[in-house]
Amino acid sequence: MKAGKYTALEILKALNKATFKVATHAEMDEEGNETPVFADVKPEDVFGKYRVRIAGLRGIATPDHVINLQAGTEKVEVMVGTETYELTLEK
Amino acid sequence: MATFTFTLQGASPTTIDATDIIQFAGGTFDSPIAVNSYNDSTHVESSVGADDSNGNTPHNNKFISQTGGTGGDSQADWGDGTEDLDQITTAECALKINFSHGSAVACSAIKFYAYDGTTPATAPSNIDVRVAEQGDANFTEAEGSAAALTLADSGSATSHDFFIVLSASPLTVGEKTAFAFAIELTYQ
Repeated sequence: MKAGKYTALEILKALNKATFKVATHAEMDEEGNETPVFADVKPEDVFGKYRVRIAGLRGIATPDHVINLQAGTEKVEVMVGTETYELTLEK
Repeated sequence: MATFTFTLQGASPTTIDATDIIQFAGGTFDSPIAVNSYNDSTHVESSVGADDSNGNTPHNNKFISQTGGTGGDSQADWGDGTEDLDQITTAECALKINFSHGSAVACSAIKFYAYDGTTPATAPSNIDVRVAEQGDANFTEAEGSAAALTLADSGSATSHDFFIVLSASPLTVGEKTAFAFAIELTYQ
């Protein structure tokens, strides 16, 4: 992927991950300690349900949210849920 | 520090300084546009009336139709005859707006619109204004802030370029000077 305009879904798919690990809820043990429970979610299913941030942009709630990755951008930080990923752009 | 730089693109770029204006004309600098017709040339005019874009062969983007293109696309002429609006490249757009910041910032809620030069919500009087961001399939009649063109969010960078297609038509005779463009964005 080079610099340019893409939808949020296109950018997520460019990470080449079949699924993203997201925390769906937490389970509490007898002592009151919470442990997150994770699930694997497909890229197209994260929008509107889990936090998605791309290139510093927040509030990305739809797969067709258009984002312009400016020329000269080398790496794009992508956050899905609590996990952060890095997409390297082609020159 | 955040800085906006406005450029009329062409064979060579012409920077639009703080006291300059964008002049839409009928083919040559200071030539009139017939009522209900769209610009055949675009220029940068200095505060003293000089053609600052002279010699730079500035681009002109002329509105042709709102939905007459392929699949309902708008049509425009940017020098090669009538084409679908979404065929225009960044280099062919008349207006380039650059937003730069010393730190990498992301830009969102980006709006571009025409107004009367005094009140953002007030459309310029007796002018039909059509604008689009490069890549759009249709023009937006962005007259007044409530009818603004929304530009795509721009990912974190120290420099952001926005490419705008611009066209205007007078609806009555007379020079139209109560006419300005504005861009608004949020950066973080």
